[in-house]
Amino acid sequence: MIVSIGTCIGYDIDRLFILKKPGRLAETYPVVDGWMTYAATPTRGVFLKFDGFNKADAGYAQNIYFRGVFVLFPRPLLVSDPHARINNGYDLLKNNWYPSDPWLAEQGVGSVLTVQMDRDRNLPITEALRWLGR
Amino acid sequence: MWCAIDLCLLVVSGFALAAGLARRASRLEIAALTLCIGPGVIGFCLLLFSMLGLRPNRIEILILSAALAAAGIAVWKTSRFEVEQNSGAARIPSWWIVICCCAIGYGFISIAVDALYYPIVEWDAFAIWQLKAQVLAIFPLHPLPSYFTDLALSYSHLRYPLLAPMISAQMHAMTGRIDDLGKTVSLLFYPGMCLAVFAAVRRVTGSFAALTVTALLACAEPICRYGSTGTAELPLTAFYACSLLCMLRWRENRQIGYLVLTAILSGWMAWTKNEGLALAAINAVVIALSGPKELRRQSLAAAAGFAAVVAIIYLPWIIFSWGLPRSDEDYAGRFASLQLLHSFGRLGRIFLGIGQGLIDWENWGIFWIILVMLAIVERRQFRNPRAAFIGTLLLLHLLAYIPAFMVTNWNLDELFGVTIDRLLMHAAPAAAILMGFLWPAWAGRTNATG
Repeated sequence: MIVSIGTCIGYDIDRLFILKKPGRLAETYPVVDGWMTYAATPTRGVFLKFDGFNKADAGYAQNIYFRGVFVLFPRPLLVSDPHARINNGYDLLKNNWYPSDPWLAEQGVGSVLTVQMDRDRNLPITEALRWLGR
Repeated sequence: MWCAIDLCLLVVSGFALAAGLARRASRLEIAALTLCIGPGVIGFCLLLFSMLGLRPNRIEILILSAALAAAGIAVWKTSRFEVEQNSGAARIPSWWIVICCCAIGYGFISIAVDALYYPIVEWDAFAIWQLKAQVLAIFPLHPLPSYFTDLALSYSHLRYPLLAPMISAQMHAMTGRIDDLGKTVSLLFYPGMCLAVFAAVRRVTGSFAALTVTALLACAEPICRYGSTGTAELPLTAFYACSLLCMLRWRENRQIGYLVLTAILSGWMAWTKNEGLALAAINAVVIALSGPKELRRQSLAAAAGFAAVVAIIYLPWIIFSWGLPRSDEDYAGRFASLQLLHSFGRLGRIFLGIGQGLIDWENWGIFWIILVMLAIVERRQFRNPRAAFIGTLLLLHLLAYIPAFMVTNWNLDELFGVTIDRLLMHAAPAAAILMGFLWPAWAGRTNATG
């Protein structure tokens, strides 16, 4: 019993107080949160364009999109035509386009944020932010 | 401040239903049920209101809580709590009490740190459950918010049940802000779950066994890790633990109030996760099979009544979710397409995956190994109907995962990596109670209720 209790507590102390896993995750997401809140306005959302992402980078695209939707809600964060079914990063990269700027404006989008893969650091970075109608 | 007030209101709200239906329960049992029923009853009522076009707001929650508190006062005046038996408490060495209390205390601290200190960072929380909480906090369910038909958000599983998100949404409504406090309700669910397991075991095999298995459960790594990240794992586990407690009491005294409580909790389990529907069905089967042969007809009638209450509670969800887009996982559709019959080749890998999950040292220590060892060494205890009852429930619970793994579109290795710890977490209260029931006499078992 003591072995089991000790092991569980030991691993959880490691997770929570030594490795600080939730804390480390909490440090990475504010970057994405910051991109989204900067690119959105109080009433209009964002279209997210992924530039230079290949299949191996789908996980990054997926995380940025899912996190962005959570941060911006109820403002829209689009990555495709809303009729495209997005279940994961592969669906996202396959459908990552939009018909036109007026169409984006109709969907409540105020800007297009382009995210690029930085191949030197193998990390996504923001490449450009274009405000619609300016 | 509103967060603390809301937590208090949830506790007050749960008392009427818990004490009103669980007649002559002990104070411990009432405490366990109150802590879990409070969030459930408020969340469920708010879902029904939301379906009528009212999104959760502070006034509505205060009125609902006041009504439930008034009912609770009426129940309090007529309640007679069972006098708690001092079932061998003096035999527990004080050092063991200290160890167990430290384990339980650590679990609570871990849950509280995640709930109060860290923001929402768990992937499932922000992609699914807390996103839904935002939807529910901002829009009523009638007219249908566009979220539920937006295929670009299919990843968040548009048809996932809404009770856990609504419990978070009511916190948002009370605090007036959509922030990370939605996950603080775990500060009620966690002690509720622990108390339910403790009370269930204490009644049968005494305080030593009860304290030990509660400590083993309380500090299990998946419970600490997923407990307050904002997902639906802990609400489901806590509702399940309370439903087990009520089922055991119903088996013992056949009072209808316990059966109704079991049905209500099972209905909420189905409203919490799709898996909860399977667990509710298993509860119905085990209720039907419980009791001696001469009471079999009564058991079948009880199972039918149980199923009827669950169906009434679940019906609004069936109506609401009818026609909503399914995600790529869509297990129900895969079962219907008989894909199951073509997936028997996966069985070996599935059993291996579940077995590996059970012996995963980092997640469970030797929790499941202790259970298996007890089941082998104390196998004669299965002649006790209570142990056989919980053993059957646990076995059926674990077997229920197999069909889902057989038809999944995921790579099995990947899926086991991200789900098996959570699935075993849901079954852990049953495992802990079974462990308590199998507790050996030489280790301090006292047959508290004979």
